Amino acid sequence: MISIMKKILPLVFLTLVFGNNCLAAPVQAPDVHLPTTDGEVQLASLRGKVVYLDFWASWCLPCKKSFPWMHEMKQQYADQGLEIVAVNLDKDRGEADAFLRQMQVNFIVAFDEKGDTASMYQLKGMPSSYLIGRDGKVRASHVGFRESDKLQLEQAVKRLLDQ
Amino acid sequence: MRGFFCLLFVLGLAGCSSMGVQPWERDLLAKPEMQPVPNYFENFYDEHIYFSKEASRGGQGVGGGGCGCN
Amino acid sequence: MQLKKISGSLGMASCTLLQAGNVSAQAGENEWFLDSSFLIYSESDGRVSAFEPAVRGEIDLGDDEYVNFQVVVDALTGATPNGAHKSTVVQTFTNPSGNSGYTTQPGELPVNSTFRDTRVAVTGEWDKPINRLSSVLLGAAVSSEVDYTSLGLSAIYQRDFNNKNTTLATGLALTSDLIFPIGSVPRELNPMRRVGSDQQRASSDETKNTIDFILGVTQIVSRTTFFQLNYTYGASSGYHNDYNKIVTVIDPLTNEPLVGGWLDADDLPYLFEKRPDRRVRNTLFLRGVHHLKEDVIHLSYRLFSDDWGITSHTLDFKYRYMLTEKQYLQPHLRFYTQSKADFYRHDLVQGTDIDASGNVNLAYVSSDYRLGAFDGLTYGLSYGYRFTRRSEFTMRGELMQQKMDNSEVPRSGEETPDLTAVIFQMGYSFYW
Repeated sequence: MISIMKKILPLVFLTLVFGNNCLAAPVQAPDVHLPTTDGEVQLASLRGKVVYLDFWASWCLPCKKSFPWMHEMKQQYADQGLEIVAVNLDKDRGEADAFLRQMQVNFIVAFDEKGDTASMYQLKGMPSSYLIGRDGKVRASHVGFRESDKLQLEQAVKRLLDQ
Repeated sequence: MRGFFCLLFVLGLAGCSSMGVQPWERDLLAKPEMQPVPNYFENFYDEHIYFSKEASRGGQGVGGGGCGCN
Repeated sequence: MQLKKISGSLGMASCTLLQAGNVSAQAGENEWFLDSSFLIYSESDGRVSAFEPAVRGEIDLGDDEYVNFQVVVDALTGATPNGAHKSTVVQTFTNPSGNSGYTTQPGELPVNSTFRDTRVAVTGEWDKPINRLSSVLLGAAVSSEVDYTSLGLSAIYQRDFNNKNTTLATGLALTSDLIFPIGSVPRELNPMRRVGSDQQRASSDETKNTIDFILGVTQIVSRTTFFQLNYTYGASSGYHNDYNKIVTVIDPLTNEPLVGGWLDADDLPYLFEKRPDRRVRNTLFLRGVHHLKEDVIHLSYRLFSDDWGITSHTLDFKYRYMLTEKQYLQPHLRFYTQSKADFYRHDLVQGTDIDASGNVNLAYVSSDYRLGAFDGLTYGLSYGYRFTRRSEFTMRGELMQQKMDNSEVPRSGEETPDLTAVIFQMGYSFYW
């Protein structure tokens, strides 16, 4: 039963999540249970907060630009209940660590070396981000990171925090 | 002759739609040595030399591959 | 180099423009990527030598938009074959200006050694995304030398499919060339005239226009491998001759260049070549790139065919051997073979190819060895050192050989000599 669920859930997720859109019928976010830089993270334990879930890799250049922005977002909105989880997809942990050493990080960094969590979220590109509401449901998703995306993403975050 | 080329091209194109990797599996493809033309001027000068010393030219064209980001 | 003088800068313009390989996807916003390099090319036996410095700059305007420009200077010296072949007698030729000439000894390949030129080519490109999955690349190129100017424009549209595993690209390039030979355009199939006499030129300049169309697909096959397949169609119309090239008229009774006959007192037994005023080309190019445990293989094959009767095959192999994460050694092997043009001739035989009044019974003729049949082999080694993620040094040395097909040379001692050239290149690139 669980194995069938594991297969169906991503498919259900896929059909409901597309591009940069907000979802008409929000879907429960697939669970994230991964090791982090200093322990582990579980999405379920972040219920009640607005979670910005980001998937990145050291070889992804737009990801370099997303980190300073995520740092700024966490600084500004943490007290309103924003949590940021940046899931790394590098196959080589050393590359990820080298990337992190160049960045200012004030948010959770998790490691999904095998890409199982990325599979569950059916990523369409790199980087990919998902906005999860306080109820644990995926409210929006976005592919890529561009200068022109920053405002739109921040507004989506604020809207969810205000709800 | 043109028909032959068109056929070869279409055959090459067929069966492309289901191949590939997941977006997060492009680590190797993102490397500089994995770009279609890793060294710009090496390729540029070669094109120039052979264009000048042979009767054929060009054909290389356009890009793809890489990290596929954004 | 000399062929570029005839259909050259044209090709250079559209060749450069139809190579959308976005190299510097590493820059930060409004950051510059600068790439500088120089080439030394040197042929054996005192033939052509070239020194070619180049510089390229690319600006990252943010959000996957880039602008780049490039300047290449091409300084040529040395001697180039004029189309006549070795003979058992002394041969005399006139320079394009008509005021001076040169002589070739028996058994020597006739080469024009007053050949000296500098060419400057400037290119600019703008790479603009349309949306997440598509972009357009616009390019312009200008090149200029003492007797040739070329202008080119190009546009390439690129679209991704299948989560960017498949990329389709299509493009068009237009090039316009103006040829204004030193000493004016000679009359096709008319004899070269002696030094000091009326050179009887046809016109002061000529033009040639080219259109190239490209269709390409890039397909990711696996985490380690991808392929590219490109089809290019090119059509050019206008002046295709190399105005410096001549064809020898042989007297079948002496087996030497014709003396007397229909030639008047000031004529030399060499006719200026004549090529068709149209050329249609088809090219199919396949490239495969594969990542081994540490190293990378690049293999490509190109099939070329045109309506001048030339078919060629090119196989190019590069193996990037990573010495360390920062350094590589890259052996390179290139095989090439081409068939001759329909109108390629070793020479013209009086009586058979030319009548008693001097009329040539062929529509077109050229003795330019580059339109003849030959095999090419190049082998070389490159070395690269990446100082940081943001600067790299490369250098390479190669040996290029062209082995002529002399099977149809009617008289021994007149074989077209093989060509050997040394290539040396060094370059440095960095982000700024």
